[in-house]
Amino acid sequence: MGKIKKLEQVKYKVFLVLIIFQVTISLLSFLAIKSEIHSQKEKFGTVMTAPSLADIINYLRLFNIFYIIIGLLTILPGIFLYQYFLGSKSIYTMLRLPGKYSRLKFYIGQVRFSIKGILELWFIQLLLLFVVYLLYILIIQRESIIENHWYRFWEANYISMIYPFTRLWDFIPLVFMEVLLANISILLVLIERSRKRSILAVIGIILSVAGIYSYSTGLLHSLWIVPVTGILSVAISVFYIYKVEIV
Amino acid sequence: MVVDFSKLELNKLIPIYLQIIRHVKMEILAGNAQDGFEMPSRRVLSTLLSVNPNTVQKAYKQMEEEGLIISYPGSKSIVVANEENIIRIRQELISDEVLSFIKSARAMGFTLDQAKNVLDKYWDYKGKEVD
Amino acid sequence: MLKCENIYKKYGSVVALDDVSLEFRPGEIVGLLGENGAGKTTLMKTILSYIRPNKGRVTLDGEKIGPNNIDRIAFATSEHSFFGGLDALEHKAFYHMQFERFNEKRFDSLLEFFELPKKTKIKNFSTGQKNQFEVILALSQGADYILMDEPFAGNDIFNREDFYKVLLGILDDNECLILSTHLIEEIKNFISRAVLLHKGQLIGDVTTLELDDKNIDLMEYMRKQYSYRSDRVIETLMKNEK
Repeated sequence: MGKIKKLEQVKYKVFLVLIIFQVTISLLSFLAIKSEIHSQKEKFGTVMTAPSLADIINYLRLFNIFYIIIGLLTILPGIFLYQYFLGSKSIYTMLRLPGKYSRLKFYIGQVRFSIKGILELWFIQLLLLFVVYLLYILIIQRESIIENHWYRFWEANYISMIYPFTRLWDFIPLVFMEVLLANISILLVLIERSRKRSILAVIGIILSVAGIYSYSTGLLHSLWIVPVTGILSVAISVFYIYKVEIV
Repeated sequence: MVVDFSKLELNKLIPIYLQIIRHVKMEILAGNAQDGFEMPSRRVLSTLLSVNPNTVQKAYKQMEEEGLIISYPGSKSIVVANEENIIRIRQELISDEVLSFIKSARAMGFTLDQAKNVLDKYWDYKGKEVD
Repeated sequence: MLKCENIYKKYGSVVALDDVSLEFRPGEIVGLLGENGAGKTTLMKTILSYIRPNKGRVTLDGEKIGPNNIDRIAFATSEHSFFGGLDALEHKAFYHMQFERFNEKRFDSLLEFFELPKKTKIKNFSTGQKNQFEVILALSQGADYILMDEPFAGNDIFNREDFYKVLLGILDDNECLILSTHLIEEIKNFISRAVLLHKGQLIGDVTTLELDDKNIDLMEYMRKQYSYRSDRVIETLMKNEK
């Protein structure tokens, strides 16, 4: 539908702004570090070790906007669903669509934009990291950069949570995180809509939060918590959409 | 030519199907619906009068039974306005009216002679309501 | 045939439908009549499987209502079930994609007849136009059983009379229209059958031809059926008093 196309365009514009912003800030900070190193060298003659890229990114809070955008994408499915369930009562039409999987398709339609957006953002930020890394290497002199900087970069907590190249198994929970995030706002809407029978949806929310929490804090670092909570909460959403009654 | 129903205004006093039949009879007597004229299709008439097709169907059926129209399967119904029918309709309708008049006149206390006088008086009346 | 068998539905302590059994056939124009809260909307929602009854079931030609035959039932409601953010052409595309029996010709000609704009979002239509569009969708879906729940709320009488004419002209012998309304005087010539609900119970089911034969007016019939109920109450009370 036309609205989605417009949203897609807005999304890409936002990504573009994000990239420009992040690259510019990184560039400026590298240049600042370079001149700092230079003046240090002149003053004391020794070579100062530059902060690692991971630390710089952390310091600049470069990824904050990344998370904000993820947050917005997470809310969207709920907004889409809200529009269908309330307001214009078009749910009367949606729940009459023929075909066994029409309600499942309905659910997928709600989360598709969000999941696609999160995926795209993930890739774009990855490319950005490469670009920024390249700039880092070019601008900051060899001698100031610490040993094994490349591997240590990807091992940094901050980075490896989102880009777990050093622990490949971690991609499994990462993928399910996407799904968890896209599904949360739908559960919230379903709670609001069902009111009386919303216990199951509340359980879904608790599961989702547990999954996200365990992943981001590495607290219960088990490979399977996020996938399991992810699948369960999606199942709960789909169950609701199949069972919902319009009173 | 098709029998014209555009001037038929339905009232709430007698069943619709009877009003339809009466209209056809009146049109025949007035010479507007001549022998061989077509009746509108049931669907068209039901839409025109804003009444359910079953009602129209009932009217058509009764008219068929009375021999007023003939329905050919797959096509429209045709008016049978022969002499026999015209005479019969005329007698039927007029006796309804006359009985109604007599009832009212009697209720108002008129004698037969007085009623006849009234008829004479008003036979050529062309007052405000010109038919 | 659309068959409702012994439908029983309860909300908390309120019985919305109490052992209601009905059969609907193609070609009928059925007036579903009754006061507010009589159960008309609940019955329709049960047929559409928006609601599951506590007891009883609804079948279409012997089969349960499900994703395979749900497109044979259409619904128009004064609450409006269209997508406010889309325009008429977008609705047409959506229906064409979702409903294989969608009747494009009918949709186009009705849109033209009501003179509705094609590229305006439906939420920007007037109330009367919204009602018209809602009915157009229900009539064009390709369903053989069309349910309408007080579809004319907000239309003035001239619009409503237009509606009845349009429906009479456009419905064919294979389609069954079930129309829930409280405007009894208006629809009594239009319907072929009247079904009466009162406090969730079926208290009347008569064809207009039967009423004609007995020379009873629809209002008269309804009053009779309602008072039959209250007469029985009085009878019972008096019996108990003695």
